[in-house]
Amino acid sequence: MNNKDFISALARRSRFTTRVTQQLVDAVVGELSARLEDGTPVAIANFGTFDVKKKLERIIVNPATGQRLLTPPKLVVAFKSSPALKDDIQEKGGRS
Amino acid sequence: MSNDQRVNLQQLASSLNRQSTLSPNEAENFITQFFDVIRESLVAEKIVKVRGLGTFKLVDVEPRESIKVGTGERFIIEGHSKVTFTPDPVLRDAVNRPFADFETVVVNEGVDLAALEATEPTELPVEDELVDAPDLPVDEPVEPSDVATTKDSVELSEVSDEGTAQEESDDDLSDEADDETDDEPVDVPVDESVDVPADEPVDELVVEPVVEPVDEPVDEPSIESNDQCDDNSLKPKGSPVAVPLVGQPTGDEPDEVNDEPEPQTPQSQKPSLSDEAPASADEKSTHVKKAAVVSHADVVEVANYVRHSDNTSHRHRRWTGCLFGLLCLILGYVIGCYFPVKMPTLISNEQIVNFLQYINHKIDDFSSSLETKQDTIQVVDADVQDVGVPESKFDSKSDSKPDKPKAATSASTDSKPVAKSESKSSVPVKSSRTNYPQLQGGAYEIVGVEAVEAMTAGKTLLNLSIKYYGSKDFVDYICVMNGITNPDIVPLNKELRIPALQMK
Repeated sequence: MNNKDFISALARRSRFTTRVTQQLVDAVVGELSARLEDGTPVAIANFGTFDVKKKLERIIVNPATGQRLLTPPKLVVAFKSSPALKDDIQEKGGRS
Repeated sequence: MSNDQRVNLQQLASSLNRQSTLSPNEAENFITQFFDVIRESLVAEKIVKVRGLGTFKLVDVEPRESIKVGTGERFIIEGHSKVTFTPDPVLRDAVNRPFADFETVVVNEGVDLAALEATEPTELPVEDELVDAPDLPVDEPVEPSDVATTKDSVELSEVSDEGTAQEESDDDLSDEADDETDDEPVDVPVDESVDVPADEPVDELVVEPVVEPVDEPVDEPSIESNDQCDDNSLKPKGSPVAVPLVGQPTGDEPDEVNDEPEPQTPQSQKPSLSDEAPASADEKSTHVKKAAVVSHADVVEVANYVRHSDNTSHRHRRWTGCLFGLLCLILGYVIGCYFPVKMPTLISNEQIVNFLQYINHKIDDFSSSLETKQDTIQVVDADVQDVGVPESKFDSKSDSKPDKPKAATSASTDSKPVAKSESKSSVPVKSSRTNYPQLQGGAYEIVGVEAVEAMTAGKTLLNLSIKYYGSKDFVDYICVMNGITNPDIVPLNKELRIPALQMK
């Protein structure tokens, strides 16, 4: 499901137009991103937690050339699904 | 807003409420629906992409076997699906903005190992060069420089300079030698040649290799020549002299001494020798080769350890050292011109015979050392025990100090044979000065006999020096005290008087 499908599905659910829905989604995502940029975890009940984690710098080796590279530290967004979401997936989604 | 606290759906809703026309309830409902849709779509389609946020995806996890931590019982984790989230590039970059300026950098740490590896190969070429053109000091310095280059660009540049102008090379060496003087005590134990240890500590390894090869070729070749041709006896002396010069621990030595004797001297002497006595260079070649090879290997190993620490200081000393070395060369040449006349009287048949014996021992040592190149320390020990080669170097050192002026003359002037005799004769002459023989140019005065030690198997002058004085640098005093002219040859069970020293 791509973004278009997602917006249309959400529009049906929320009874907004897709255009308004897209605007609202952008607002929500923008707010979510702003929190994450501040390093604040965002927890959504029954869905999961968005968190920002710092990955330390490290040395990687190019297996082909043996060249050693120092990769800088970085901040990444981590998502941890809530138990409710996990259960939901196991029950309904399951393995194909 | 609050950095420490988690933000929940309600807080998001209130923010959304402020940004939009939605009421708080509508905002909250919308956000709830937002994630519900994601969830349901995820279950239905296994992948949901939200622009600006990222991609949620269901990933199947294969069943796998595991062990319960508590009981050690094996069980199977059933296959399941888990949610993965890949942030949209926009979000990813926004979050990583604080670290965005960092870039991946190639690590250069491997340099050390590479340098070590590179060093050994370079050594061999150096030997070849020496053999081919013993007369050319330039070649030798270049080789060491090659080794050094891997480690330091600066060193390389120096080497190149040396190659261009012998004088410059000499200067560099002198600089190094000066540096070495400070560090000498550290490395002394290392090996056969005093020069090597001194050089190594002082500077970068690079320098040392150069110096050693040069010294040995210059000095030893002459010695060998003596073996082969007595005529060249003078040269051998010159070599010992040069060695001492290099090793000069005190640094107090007269300017004259510094001029030629200094470590750089090996190179500087070479040029002078070549100019004055080209024949000597030819004779040198064979022995020089061996010596150079051995010394090189040893030096290189030692150098590897030392290199890093010395690199920075080396550069600054370079230019000043060049000027100083040039000055020394000129001075040495002048002195050499005036001294040749005196020299012949000093030489005696006994001295020549001793010298030949010394040379023979050296040759044996070299041959043995070549076999065991890689193990410097062991080689040194073996040499010490067998022939005392290392000691011989030390002796040469000691001799050189007293004889420095003479040595310089010998090197600079044509009367090389004279120089030989001088080095040997000089010690006794000096000793006559006071009740006890004194080491010329030494920082200490021999004021008495501290102990008497029999030279039994396994003992070396170096060991005794370390035992009684805590430093290898005092071998010269022991030699002077006991009239040992060739530290490599000390009669078994000889009673050695260990001098009591007093700072001058």
